[in-house]
Amino acid sequence: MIENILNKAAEKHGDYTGSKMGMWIFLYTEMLLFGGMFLVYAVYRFHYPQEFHLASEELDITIGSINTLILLTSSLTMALSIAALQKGKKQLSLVLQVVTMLLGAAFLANKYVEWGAKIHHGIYPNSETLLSQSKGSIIFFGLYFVMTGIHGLHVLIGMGVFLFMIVFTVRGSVSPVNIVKLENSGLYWHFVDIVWVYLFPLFYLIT
Amino acid sequence: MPADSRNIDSDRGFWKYEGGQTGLLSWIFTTDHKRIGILYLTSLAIFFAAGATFGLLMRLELIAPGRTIVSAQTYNSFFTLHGVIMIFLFIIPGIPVSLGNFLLPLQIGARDVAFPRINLLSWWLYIAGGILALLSLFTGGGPPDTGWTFYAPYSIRTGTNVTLAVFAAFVLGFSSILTGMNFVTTIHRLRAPGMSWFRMPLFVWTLYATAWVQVLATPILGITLLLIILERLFGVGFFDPSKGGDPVLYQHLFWIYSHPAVYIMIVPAMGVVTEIIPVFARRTIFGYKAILLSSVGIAAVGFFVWGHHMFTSGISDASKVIFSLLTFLVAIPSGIKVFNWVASLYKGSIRVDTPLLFTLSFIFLFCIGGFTGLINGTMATNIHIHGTHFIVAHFHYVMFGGTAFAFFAGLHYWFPKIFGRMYSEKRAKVAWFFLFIGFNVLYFPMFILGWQGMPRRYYDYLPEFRNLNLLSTIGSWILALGLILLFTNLIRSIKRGEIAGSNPWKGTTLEWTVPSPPPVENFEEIPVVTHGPYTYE
Amino acid sequence: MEHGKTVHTISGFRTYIVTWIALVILAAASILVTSLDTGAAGMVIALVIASVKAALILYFFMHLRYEKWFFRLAFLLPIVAFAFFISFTFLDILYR
Repeated sequence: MIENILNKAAEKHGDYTGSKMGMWIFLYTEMLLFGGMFLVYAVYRFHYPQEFHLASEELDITIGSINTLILLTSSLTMALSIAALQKGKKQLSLVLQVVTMLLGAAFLANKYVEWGAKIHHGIYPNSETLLSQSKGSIIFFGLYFVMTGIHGLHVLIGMGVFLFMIVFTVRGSVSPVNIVKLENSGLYWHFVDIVWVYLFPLFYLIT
Repeated sequence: MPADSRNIDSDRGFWKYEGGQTGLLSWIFTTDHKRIGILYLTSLAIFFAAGATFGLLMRLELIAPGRTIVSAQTYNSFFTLHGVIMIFLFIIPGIPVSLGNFLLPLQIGARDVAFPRINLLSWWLYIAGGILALLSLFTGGGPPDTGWTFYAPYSIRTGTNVTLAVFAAFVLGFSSILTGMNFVTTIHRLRAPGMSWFRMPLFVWTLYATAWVQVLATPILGITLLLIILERLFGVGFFDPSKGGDPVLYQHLFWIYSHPAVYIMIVPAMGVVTEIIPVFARRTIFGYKAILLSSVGIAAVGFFVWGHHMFTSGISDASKVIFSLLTFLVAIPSGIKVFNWVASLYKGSIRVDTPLLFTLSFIFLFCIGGFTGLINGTMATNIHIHGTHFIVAHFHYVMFGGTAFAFFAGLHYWFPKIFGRMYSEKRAKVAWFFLFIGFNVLYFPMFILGWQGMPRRYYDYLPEFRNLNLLSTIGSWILALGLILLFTNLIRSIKRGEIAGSNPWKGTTLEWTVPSPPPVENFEEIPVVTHGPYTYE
Repeated sequence: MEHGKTVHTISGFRTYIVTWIALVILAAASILVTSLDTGAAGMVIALVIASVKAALILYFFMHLRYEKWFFRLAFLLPIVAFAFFISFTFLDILYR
């Protein structure tokens, strides 16, 4: 019954440009959400330059770089999945969507390993080990867990969105002539990638 | 208008149930912007009543020095909840989600907003946030006692239910963001043919400017509240000096949103006022583009003044100078609007019906609020009155005497359109009288009290402040009477008012071209617009 | 109202793959630059590179290349807002 009401509303209101506009506006809000965190980062980086540098060396550049590669590639596969569907290649698009999702999962797996290692060594917010370190270090790792955590949450949500897109594509409600949902999912995913593009140098590459 | 013996509204326009759903479900699952506007209006009224109750209880405590009816701890919860409810559940959603939702598509000649289902989601989130906020009254360590501003470090350390209340505000912020996103897209995409940007009613322009502020400012609140929750739950340390954090940074983050938020509150109110004046002066608005640009200007410059809430918090002198200067600048567009409104009335054929009565009161009360805002924004005087009742009076003059009075003006103005019936003009004017008197008796003494040094957010005060406090509390009762009269008049008129036609005020904007109440699809045929919104002979 | 039609030029696979290669090279470059002893300048370069990567993703993957003026212009709004937030906050932080 609820489906009927919502579906009727969807039929009445279909506007491709408007739909994309809504998604972009939502992304502006996400930019500012993360922007707030980058502001906090900037303030404390200014206060504790040395400590941030030292703390950054405790992060594993290799895992960080692999994660960068994973996300960049997942943006590629996402964009390709849309192009494939536009060209009418439904199977290829589905494969690419699944690959994108798996890459997202790989990113999260790496994150799990990274976080696990830190927590195993007693480095997590409010831990005794962390509190015994310098203030700059406490703040650095606070920022690390909060920012990569909220980013990771967005990756997880993105994977949920892809699951829906895969189902819609299989069923045909996402199709070459009705592709805006997939495009909007792509916009979201690319945004999540862009956030990581900034997170990576700011946490792993501090000189 | 033909006399009509019908008493039942359920078969009129959009009030008739749609589709196969009946009763409550046809409301809770509606995607019709008009019904969503009504849902919001009803919820707003309930939360307003709750917030007002806390306000009255506060005034009861302050009627005499010393403990009167509650302990200090309880009083702290009162002013916290009064603030949280009034700000996040009443004023910020306020005009946009009720009058805005109802009127926006009608005024631009559309059948609905761009994303009707997201509109419904906004309302659900609003209710969820409201429930969470009310839950914080009863669960955990008791209702929050930090003030609606949740300043660190106290908000991190207090045992009261800050986490739940802050999470409620977070959910409400999300609701606000979705409304903003919806309105921006609607205004860009769904204007009727011929309605260029400069033929839009000015109410629509104010909704547009406000929507952008909602989109750009609210996320900062979101992250700030999230950080409070994370601090409380995990001890992260961003605002804790012992861990290297800075409590003043919290204040920056908080006010980066909360100052633009006051423009979310006032700009739509100014839009309502701008709609009403031409109708009741039978003249076109003076300076359409000036009002438009000043609305956008207020919204824009309002992003850069937040530091004036922090003059005594230990920020740098350099930033104080800049923030004070910008605060002065942001008063200019408001002044332009007041000038334009008054000029629009000049040589008009004025009928002081209730909408105009509230509008004129708005202009007067908003000016008082605005001028005292300049006093607050001046660094030297700010040191004297920060944290006193002077500030309390200032913001009640702009938020209540300003926004709420404009809201009442709009409610009366559009009442016949929404409900198809007219309210009782006489009762409305009586209500206005008590409201206006009560409001000024309640809040004006606070300017004096604050100037004399009485701090805010204290349940006790020095004996020399007793008389004005007594006066203020009496004012609160007069005000309460006015509110009761206003609402009972409107509620009664829903069923018993005289039937109103499609254009009882002879307005010229598009909503007056459709029946009262409007049918579900708004327009039989989407109109083609050929001229501006305020064409009077 | 265009009901779900794709309106703009379809980007070919090649555009995306070339963009991806550029992104990977830039990522490697930023790792390299910061691993050398470049101090503060290295950080600035890394952030500039990050911004170039962001611009590539926005322009090619997110189709800002093809979009109407609204999308390109409106995108600046959150950026400008953020720029003001951070600079005014630093007006305080820097000069306390």
